[in-house]
Amino acid sequence: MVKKVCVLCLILGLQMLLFCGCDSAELEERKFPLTIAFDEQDQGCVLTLGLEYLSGVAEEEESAKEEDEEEVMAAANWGEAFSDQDEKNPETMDYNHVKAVIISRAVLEDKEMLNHLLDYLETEELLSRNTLVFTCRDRAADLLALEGGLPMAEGMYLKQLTDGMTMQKDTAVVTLGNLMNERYNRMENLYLPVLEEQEQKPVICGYYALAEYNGMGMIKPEVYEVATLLENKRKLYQFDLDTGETIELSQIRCSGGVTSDEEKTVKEVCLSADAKIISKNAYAAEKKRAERQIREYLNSYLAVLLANSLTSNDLDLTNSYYSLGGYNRKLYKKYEDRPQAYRRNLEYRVDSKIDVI
Amino acid sequence: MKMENKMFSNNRKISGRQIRRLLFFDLAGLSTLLLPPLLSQTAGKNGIFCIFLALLPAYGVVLLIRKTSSRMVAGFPDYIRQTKGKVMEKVLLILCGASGIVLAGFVLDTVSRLITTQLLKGESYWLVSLLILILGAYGMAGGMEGRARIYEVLFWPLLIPLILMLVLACRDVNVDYWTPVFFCSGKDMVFGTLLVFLFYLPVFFLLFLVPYEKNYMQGIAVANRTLFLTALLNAAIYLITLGIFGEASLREMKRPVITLMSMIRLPGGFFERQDAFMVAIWFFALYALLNSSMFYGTESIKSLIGKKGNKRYVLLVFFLTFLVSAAFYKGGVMEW
Amino acid sequence: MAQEEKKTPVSCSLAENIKGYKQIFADCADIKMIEMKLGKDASVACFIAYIEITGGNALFEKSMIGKLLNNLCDCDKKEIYVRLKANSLGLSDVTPFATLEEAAYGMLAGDTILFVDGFDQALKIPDKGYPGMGISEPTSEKAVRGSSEGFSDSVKVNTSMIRKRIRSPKVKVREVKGGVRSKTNIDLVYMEGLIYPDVLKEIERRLDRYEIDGILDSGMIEQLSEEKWYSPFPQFQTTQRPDRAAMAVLEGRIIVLCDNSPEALILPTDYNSFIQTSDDYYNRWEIASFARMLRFIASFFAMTLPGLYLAVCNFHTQILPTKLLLSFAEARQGVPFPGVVEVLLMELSFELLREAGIRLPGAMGNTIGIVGGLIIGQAAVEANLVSPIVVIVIAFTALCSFAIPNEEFATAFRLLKFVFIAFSAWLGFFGFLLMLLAVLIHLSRLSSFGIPYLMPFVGADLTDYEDERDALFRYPTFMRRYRPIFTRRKERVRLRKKDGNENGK
Repeated sequence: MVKKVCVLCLILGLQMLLFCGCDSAELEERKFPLTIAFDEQDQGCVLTLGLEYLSGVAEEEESAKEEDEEEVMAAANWGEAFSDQDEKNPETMDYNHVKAVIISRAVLEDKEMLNHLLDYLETEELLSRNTLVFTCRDRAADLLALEGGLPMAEGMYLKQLTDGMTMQKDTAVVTLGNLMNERYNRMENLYLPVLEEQEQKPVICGYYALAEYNGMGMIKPEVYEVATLLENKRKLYQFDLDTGETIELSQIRCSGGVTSDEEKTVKEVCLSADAKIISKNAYAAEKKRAERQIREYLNSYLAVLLANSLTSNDLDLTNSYYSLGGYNRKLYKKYEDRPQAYRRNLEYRVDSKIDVI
Repeated sequence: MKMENKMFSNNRKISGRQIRRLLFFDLAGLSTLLLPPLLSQTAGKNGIFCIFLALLPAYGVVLLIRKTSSRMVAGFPDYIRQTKGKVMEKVLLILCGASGIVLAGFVLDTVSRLITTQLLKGESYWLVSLLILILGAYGMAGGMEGRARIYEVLFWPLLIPLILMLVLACRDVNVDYWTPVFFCSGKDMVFGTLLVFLFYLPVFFLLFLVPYEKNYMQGIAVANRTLFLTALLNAAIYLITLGIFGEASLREMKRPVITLMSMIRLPGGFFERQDAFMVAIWFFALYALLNSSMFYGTESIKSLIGKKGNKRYVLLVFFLTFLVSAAFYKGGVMEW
Repeated sequence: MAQEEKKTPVSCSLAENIKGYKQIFADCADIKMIEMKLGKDASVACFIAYIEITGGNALFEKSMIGKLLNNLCDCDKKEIYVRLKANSLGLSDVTPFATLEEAAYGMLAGDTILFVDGFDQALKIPDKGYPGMGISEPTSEKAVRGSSEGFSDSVKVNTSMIRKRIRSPKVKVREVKGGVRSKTNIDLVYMEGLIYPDVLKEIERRLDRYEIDGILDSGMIEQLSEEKWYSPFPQFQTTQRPDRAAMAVLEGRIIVLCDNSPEALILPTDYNSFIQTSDDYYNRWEIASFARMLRFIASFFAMTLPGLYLAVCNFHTQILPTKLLLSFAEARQGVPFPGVVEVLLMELSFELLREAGIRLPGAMGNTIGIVGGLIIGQAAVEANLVSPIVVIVIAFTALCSFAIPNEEFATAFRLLKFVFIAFSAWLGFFGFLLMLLAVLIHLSRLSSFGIPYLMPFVGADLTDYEDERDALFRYPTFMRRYRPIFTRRKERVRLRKKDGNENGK
């Protein structure tokens, strides 16, 4: 028995010595990038890591905050960029806590580069699928240089910015996982927040729409709000009536099937919600009248917006294509793998049911 | 010791509850990990039906085992020898031994890859598989009772966190990804059903449990229930992964259930990501299947060769399992 | 080992007996031998021998030997022999010996030996015995509620403390001798009809398995009788509490009491028994269940927490929230040692503190805990030798190990903790899982006199799942109607309502 235990310990000890190469590093020997920017350049790509000084992130004190670092690496492809980044730094890069990635529009629109990036991230499992995805008009790396003006590390700032959008649900936020899924599924709309610098801070100036993984251009924040409203990704929705009242919708539920006749495909948009009149004037006193007004406004506003989006951006704000299979098998079969053909024949019928509270 | 044999411990008998739990891990460990992407590739959104359809042939197998085992006295190999002759017995033992070892090798490869991709990136595959194999040999030294006890204890500590995580994951499920149903060909459904049935095949291990089961017929009775529970769990995982990732994306993933675990947000914010902890569930479950396969492989070889002793057979199976696992690793079978 | 001992029969000649006895006890200044005369006419010579501290002239008037001598002083010569033979005073525990050697051993047990001229036997007459510590509070196993008595060093006192609590003639006490030279009294206390006879035979067989020169404590019996000696987990339960021992007797278990040892051994045992305390049964079921669960969790963390910390911080940083992780990383700035060295340093320091606290007398032992914990720990952090988080982890681990009621059982976790640290430092969470599984496999193979160590979490169907009512949760007393698995199958019912319905319905 004693011999067996000794032999086993010897085997384990030898294994420890011979095979040990365990990829571990102490905490203080690691760097934790919280934001990553992906940019394109001629014949290659640029990877910028937003690294924050530890005490600045942990304590969130201005006095303790030192100048934050950035690590920039240009390479022929993403794999090289990441590995060169690792080799350049004596510390180990730990990507487990990256909060947000900023993918420049150039990379988004270069399908090959984007696919390669997502391939690499998926294979290496470098980043969490819950990482927030942003985009920008120009260079993503420029946005990482803004950290000096922020009260906290940029990754945390962007996360808090998103968490602070209390009017929308968590499902409205686009993550890396959504992008990776959509690369294969190619069924849905994704709206990536577009960042720009305002007063030394990154702010969301609009949204970049991806429909079935294809770029559809930028949309305004109001259009984005409607899109999330119609996709049941909104908790609250505020708008102003022509008469000046501000209305807030809650308990929002948007449903409706897809029907067709021979030529046209009709998407029914049935919106039901509770409405609260925030600003008060004489009309607010009359509940039924207010409901009628809100209903009429919404019906016309949504109809116009939906039609405009379809014609100008080829964007179906109701995102009805991916749920087509559940609504109408015949149409699904007809338009399987042909979302553009589906949208070409699409019309909307909007009806809202509002309950003023 | 004589005293021990008169008492309940170390009498080489296991109870119905132990069989149920052991069988559950044998069936659920591999299937919950590998089935979703495979099923998505074959049957797509109809995979959910394949999971339940595959129960029919599995119940048929259990019925066959029940009818056969009611006539068994000393064990399955002994029964075959008495009814079909020595040649058939040898053929059967070779088949069982070989399939046990191949399954063990496959499971070892699966769990080693799981560890080297999820927990220890960059670590030596050989080191990991060797350590798991050593532990497997240690587990086998405890015999059937030792193995059964481990999983009797681990059953709820593994299942409760898994169920909790799946319940939390339901928040993010998009039911539109499940539709349309019945939109694939009959051939795809058949392939899907066969695929699921492959994962239910460890139910054959019941044949070797005759000498160990206190009340054998009770053990057979629990097999159907265990199969159904496994199917339920697989169905839940399939629906959730399909509803979160989508059919096309699910097809491309290797271990979607582990990826799912990394995405779930626990209330309270104490853990950022808990996929590393959840990998423990599959580690233990796959270890159960590895151990079972090695155990039955050893028993088959022992019966085949007919000599006494245990250690040399364990060593032989250990070596063969490692070789098979190495072949799977080098052959890149898992890299679909 | 001692060779076959010489047997010198007690002679009718007192002079021969004196000579032989003095030869046996040559150079023994603590042995007193007094020659006296008995009878009305002081015609019968006698000789008493005793260990000085156990007897004494002053006590002869009050003790049994004194009363006997006084009584015999008034008798004729013939009547003396009659009375001696008949033991007419009805002295309890008077044992006649036929050989000088037996008489010598009898005296060494703490009693007085009387030789009478013309009487061919030596008589062992009970005396006050060796000095002992008496009954005091147990040093370990403190309880908030319940008796404060603890076992003493005397096996007779200890046996009586159990009998005091179970006044049944079915409580049996079998005495065996342990140690060839020490001849230590070992009592096996059990309830006839409840125990499995095979278990009793087995313990007797194991007690007889070795010849050793001396048994000085029950710990030696434990180590010689264990089946799996290499296991860090004890296969006997130990207790200093008589109420705990009595409870075990009522559950069909056997108590092994060893002379000169306040620690009783209980067998068979299982994991669950080590987590139970006596005041679990005196307190209400809610708090008892809560405390029980806490102890189970504590037993897990006592073994695994430092390893988990290393695995998470060195390998799987994604588990912790970002701010917490970065705070840990900042705290480690300037610490010159790797995390595993830090943890080992603190663990070993803590073990040293624990040892020092035990060895130091009285108040100093208490002070060392404060000095070590606060000052040394604080100083180490400020000197950047260790990070504050490691001090917290180690302190919490220590608290968890203190929460385990049984010291020997807690030792297993203390030792295994270092193996977990090594594996976690080497292979992260995978190493942790490997060790956890190895420990589980070991526990699944462990048994104590036929009882699986993991009862009632395994094999619960053997008792129709009744044992589960006293495991993780402690059901209310009226619902715990059956004895646990240690009891013979037919004797499992322990509680019934007085309307005669066995199921209490």
